[in-house]
Amino acid sequence: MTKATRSTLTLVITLAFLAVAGEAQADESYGIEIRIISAQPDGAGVDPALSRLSADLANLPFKSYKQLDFHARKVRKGETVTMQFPGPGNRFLDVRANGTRDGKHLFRLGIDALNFKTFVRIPDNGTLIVGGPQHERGVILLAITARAARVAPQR
Amino acid sequence: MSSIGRRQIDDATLERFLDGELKQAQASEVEAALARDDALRAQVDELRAMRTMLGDHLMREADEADLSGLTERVLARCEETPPLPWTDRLSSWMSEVFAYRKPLLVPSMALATAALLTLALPGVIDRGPGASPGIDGLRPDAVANQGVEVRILSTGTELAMVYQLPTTNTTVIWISDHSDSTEE
Repeated sequence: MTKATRSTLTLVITLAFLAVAGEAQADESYGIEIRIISAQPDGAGVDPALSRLSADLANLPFKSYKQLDFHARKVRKGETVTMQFPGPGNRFLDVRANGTRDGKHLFRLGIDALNFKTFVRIPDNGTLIVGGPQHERGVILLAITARAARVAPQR
Repeated sequence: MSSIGRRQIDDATLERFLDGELKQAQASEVEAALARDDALRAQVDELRAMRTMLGDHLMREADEADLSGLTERVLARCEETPPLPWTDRLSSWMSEVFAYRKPLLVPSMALATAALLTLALPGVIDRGPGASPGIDGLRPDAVANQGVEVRILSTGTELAMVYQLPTTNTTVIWISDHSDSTEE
């Protein structure tokens, strides 16, 4: 076997290993951060706890934003995270992890009180904001961020 | 073990299963997986329910739609619409490849990359130290937040709006809430 053939073979085996490792990684758990935010038409400013989302919030038509609750954890496929948020009646956001496909994290989100259900795919460090539920004079924003490797410290 | 049984069954395969588009052997494997995997069965039940609901909604829309002069309107739009840019067509093609031909994609990419590196490596080495192709200009945070996909959305009889924030590319789902505003 020539040196060039050996090098090529080594390269192919390495790449095959990396491909298999990539598939295996798809089965691992991933991080999810859920923020319950009160957005109001009066007041001013963004809660410092929401600094990561300040660019997003600047696009929305409210004057003040306050983080009411935050939860971060690792989830595996099939696990569900439930968080209660304020509003008329008992309102819960259910977030079920449906695994990772093609580099995106799959979730099923549901709010039974609002007949709301959706299936979404969120990329690493991507955020989905669900807004609209009434709260005081404004609304509740539910920000769901997916992270591949780590979970942010509880704040 | 078969190709499906060795790994998790992806959404595209489940959708093809529900559409009856899988070959007999693949369909049998999916059925076997459903028999032993409660989570997968729940996922299929949900997909079925969503399809039924969406189907009913679309049937109602179709019943109420005004189809008079449809052919003329479609032809007029076709003549007005320019062909998609090549980047969009390439993106569409890549999406299809990733969605339906992934089993072939990994080994193909590995072989293609190996061939490319084998051919290109001497050229890179010849350029000497400091001449690596590098990706210094690529900002990970600039590409990480792109592309939240909203696959299926249901809000009962209420309306919902899905849009992307212009500066951050974050996706927003806005749902209407007409419930009594008295909080408990």
